Amino acid sequence: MSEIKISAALNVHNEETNLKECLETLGFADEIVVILDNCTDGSKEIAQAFNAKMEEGVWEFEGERRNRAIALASGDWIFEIDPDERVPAELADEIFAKTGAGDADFYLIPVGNYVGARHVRYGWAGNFGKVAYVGLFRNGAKNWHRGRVHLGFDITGKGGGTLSAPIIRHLGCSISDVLRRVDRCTTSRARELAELGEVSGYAGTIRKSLGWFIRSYLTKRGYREGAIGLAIAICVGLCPLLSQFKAKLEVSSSAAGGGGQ
Amino acid sequence: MSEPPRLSAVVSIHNEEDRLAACLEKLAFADEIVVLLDRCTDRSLEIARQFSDRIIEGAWPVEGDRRNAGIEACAGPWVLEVDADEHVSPELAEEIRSTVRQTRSDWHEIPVDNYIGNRLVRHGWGASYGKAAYPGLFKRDVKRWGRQRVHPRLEWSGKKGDMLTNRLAHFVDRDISDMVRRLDSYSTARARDLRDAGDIGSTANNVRRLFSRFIKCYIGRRGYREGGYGFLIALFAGLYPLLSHLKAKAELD
Repeated sequence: MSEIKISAALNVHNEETNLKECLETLGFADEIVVILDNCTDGSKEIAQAFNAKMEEGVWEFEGERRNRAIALASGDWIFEIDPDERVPAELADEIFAKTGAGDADFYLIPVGNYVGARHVRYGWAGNFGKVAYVGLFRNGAKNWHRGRVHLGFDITGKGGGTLSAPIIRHLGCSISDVLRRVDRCTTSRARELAELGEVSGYAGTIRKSLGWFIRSYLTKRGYREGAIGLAIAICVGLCPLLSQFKAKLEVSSSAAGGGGQ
Repeated sequence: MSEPPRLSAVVSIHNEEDRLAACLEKLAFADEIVVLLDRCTDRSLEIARQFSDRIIEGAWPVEGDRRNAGIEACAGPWVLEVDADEHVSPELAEEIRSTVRQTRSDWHEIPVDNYIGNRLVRHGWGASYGKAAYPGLFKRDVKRWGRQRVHPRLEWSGKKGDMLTNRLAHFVDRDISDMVRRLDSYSTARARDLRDAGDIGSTANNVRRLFSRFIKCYIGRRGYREGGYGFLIALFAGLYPLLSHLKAKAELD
């Protein structure tokens, strides 16, 4: 067996319904690091049951929170995962093999997005449905930027390409769950836009939303998924619209008259 | 002197502890307040007891059944039907009292001012996603609700009178998230109705309806005058049938 140690790092905000199933698939990791951000549900007890290394607190910025998880991890390699994701055995094997070989410093993990039992292959666009992410890297190679949602990061070293086995990501059981996710994400994003002073005009926002809808439904071939493809394209299109409108009508107007118009 | 006809106010609710008191305290002008509690698990009952003469608890899976049960519980002969997110101003209360004394008709519509948060949004409502007016004042035996899960239809008997002039304040959504949640819950319930009916319609036709409903709200009902909120109202009104159809279809796929 190799001496190389793998840490799984995840950030949790009230995820008691998802967390157990996620952690159950992390048996391949030598260490599990869980950052409990403002959790008021049973997430902590679940993480405890898996002997996770934990830190509780309140993080304003997702980037800082994610960096904190990485900083706590002691492994040679870090595998980042979200609570709504599951690692199938093939992916665990591949992670094991790649880290053992040590040919590169970071790898992309492909993502299989599921709504209920349905694998939705097409139509993912914008920041909403990720299809691959830099999820496996040597300790120290990845550093997140500040920001609330869908933020950027720096990665250093040699890229090893995309693994072949996808991680399973559960976007919810139904179209309703996807729409609720859009609502949550756009509320966070609106705060960020207002703070960054990136609130833009209505016309530009509407054009951008239409662009995202078209990208999801046509360019990314969401039409091949039938009804759910169209529903997801609508959700993808709603993201910039709701983020900007919430920022403009709610965040900016409530924050001492700043931003807006 | 003959007694003025009695007026019952009826509110039927499901877990409304945050908003109920503000609604009920404005109904004191009625001769009785009837509150129908549908599967409430919060403090709604406690709050209702402070204001109401008549409380009915139960479980009504279908909105129309629940509303009909509320109306039937009223002593009448006149009924004012409001929701927990609606407020009756003193001026409207006065107009309602004088209307039931003088009218020769059996029912009247009440105009509505819809608020999103604290913002009055007067234009752009309609296409069964928001209401500009509603038939809220009627004699007990002339109004029957249908059994559709969302936007149940109404059956009327009797004579329609003039619309009142004072407006009911309807706090329809607290914020845009509330609007999204309402779009979501309405379309989920509507999808169930469509499946039950065995005809979910065609995607193409519902896409066409998106555009026609959007135009009806944004242009026909002048939603454009309300800025961003007007656009969202029109968009959600348009998305509602399409999303209902897609939810129904996705479950059949």
